[in-house]
Amino acid sequence: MALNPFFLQGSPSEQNLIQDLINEQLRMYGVEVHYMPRKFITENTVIREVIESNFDEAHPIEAYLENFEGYGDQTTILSKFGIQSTQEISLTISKERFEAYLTPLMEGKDNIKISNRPKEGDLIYFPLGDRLFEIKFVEHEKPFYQLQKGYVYTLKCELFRYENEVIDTDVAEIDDAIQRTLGSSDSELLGGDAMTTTLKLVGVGTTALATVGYVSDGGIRMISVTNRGGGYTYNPDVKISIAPVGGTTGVATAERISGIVACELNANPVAESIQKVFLTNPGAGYTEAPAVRFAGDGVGAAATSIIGDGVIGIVTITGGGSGYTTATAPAVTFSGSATVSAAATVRVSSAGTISHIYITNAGLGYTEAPTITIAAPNQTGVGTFQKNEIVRGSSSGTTARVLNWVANGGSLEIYRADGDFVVGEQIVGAASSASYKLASASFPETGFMANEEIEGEADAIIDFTERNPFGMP
Amino acid sequence: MFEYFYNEIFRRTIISFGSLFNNILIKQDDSSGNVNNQFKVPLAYGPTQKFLARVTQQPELSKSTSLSLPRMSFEFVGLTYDPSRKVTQTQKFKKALTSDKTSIHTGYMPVPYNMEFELAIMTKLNDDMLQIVEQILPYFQPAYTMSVNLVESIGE
Repeated sequence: MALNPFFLQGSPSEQNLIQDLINEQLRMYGVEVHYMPRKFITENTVIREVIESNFDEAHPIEAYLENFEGYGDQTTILSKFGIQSTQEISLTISKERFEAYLTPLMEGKDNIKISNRPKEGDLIYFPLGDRLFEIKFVEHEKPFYQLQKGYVYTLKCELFRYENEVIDTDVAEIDDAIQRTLGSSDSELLGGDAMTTTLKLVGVGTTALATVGYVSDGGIRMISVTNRGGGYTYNPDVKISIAPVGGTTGVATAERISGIVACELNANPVAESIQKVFLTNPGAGYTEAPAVRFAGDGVGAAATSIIGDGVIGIVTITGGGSGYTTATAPAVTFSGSATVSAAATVRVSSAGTISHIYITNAGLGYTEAPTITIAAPNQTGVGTFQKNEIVRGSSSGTTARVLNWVANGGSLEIYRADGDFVVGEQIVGAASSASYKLASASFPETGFMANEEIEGEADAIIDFTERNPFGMP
Repeated sequence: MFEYFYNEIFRRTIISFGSLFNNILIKQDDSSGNVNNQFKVPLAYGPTQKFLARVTQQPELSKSTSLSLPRMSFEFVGLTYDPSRKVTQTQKFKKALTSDKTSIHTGYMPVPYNMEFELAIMTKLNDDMLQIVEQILPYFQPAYTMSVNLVESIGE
């Protein structure tokens, strides 16, 4: 025996006394932090890294804060990657408390590695600064074996760098630490941490309203395209022969169609042919069918018109409504006594309102202006989405997690989507059963991200008309 | 000697450069190989005003996390004269006006400068970096050509 047997070099009772004193001091002078173990969901092989981690547990524990003079100097810097915070803290926690209290809560659970000690990669929620710190190093030998034992762990922590990890601990202040992009309304935008998508959902829409005029004599009933032509890179103007004195000249608009490959004029991929001509004003007082010409950069398109008495006049949108989707444009009906009923088609704006009503057939034989009725939007939205619940698209099957639901305006901020949602499908919450129809999806432009802004500016100056008509090399 | 003109040629070139990289996606698979997280990589022009960055990126004084990753930023870093592309300055080019085919615009040959850009990528995972780089490199063989409307009045 090398040591003097008549002295005790750290008896269990002495060691326990020191441990108890330390525990007591920590509970008196410490801060209550939350320990959040990392769950290893997906690991990459060969390139060794954990590509998916979850943090869905948070256990309170007392810790002594060693940074009594703050996080350090210059902890927020502006780099080419934007604002970067680099706060660091050191925390001391009791070894005995960790093993007796936290270890049983974590051991044996799926995806948690090592539960008998605090480990690097786990998170600490520091409530005073409302910050999430990642443990970078665990020091277990300071103080150095007093009475032949270690009593505390010192956790060296750095502010957490976030990449769409799920933080779902059921502790509201922790779950809210990941900043949303949308505030309490669409107009309030926050910095935003996660790479999110904002889904515009509709459920509570209003029906659009419109009025229609009446033309008793010589209105244009419809314009039929007899030759689609080709080479049009923008919608050409539709020129209609001037009405006789006392009449009103009709007004129409043309739409193009792509994919007419037989036409050599459309060798340039942005050049298209004429698809349809819609009337926006059937005119009045024509005694014979007016001629129709197209003024644009293409050639060959031709159309004919027919006229009639007792047709509908200009359709005026008096209320654009809301909650419409482009995928399911509402039907338009005209009620009134006629030989041939009028027909029209609508265009839905990205905001979900009716932007245009185009007359496809102005009818025939009306004796007075008919009543126009636009079908109501699909009003099937119910419920309130919950934070972090999984939502699923009814037809695409795409799933994502909810970060934020702004009922005012119907904006659902989602992250961790596994694909793209389809406009028009129903978005259903797994836990809340909330269900709304998707009107549009966009990437919010706040904080650092400027992708959409660059895209918008570039669209105006990048000249796609000069693409090689024989294909890209 | 000089008259005022500003066609935003540099600005438009910067925007064009940025637009090459503004739609890069990252997809992360679960253990069975199914995509369970896909997102667009945030991109922005690097230099900005300090106060603007603070107000827009960190409106709350206390931010819970450091910067979120991945991120890409690009920057216009250099401008050099390129004598190899220089043509005689008395040479002109002409452009017919689209609205009025009876008159033309005439312009002198532009002066050749090369703009140097830097694209910086910061990711948390190796896998993210490999995905981003692999989506960029195949397009540059070694150059990528795009048509940009730099001076609207002459269609240049």
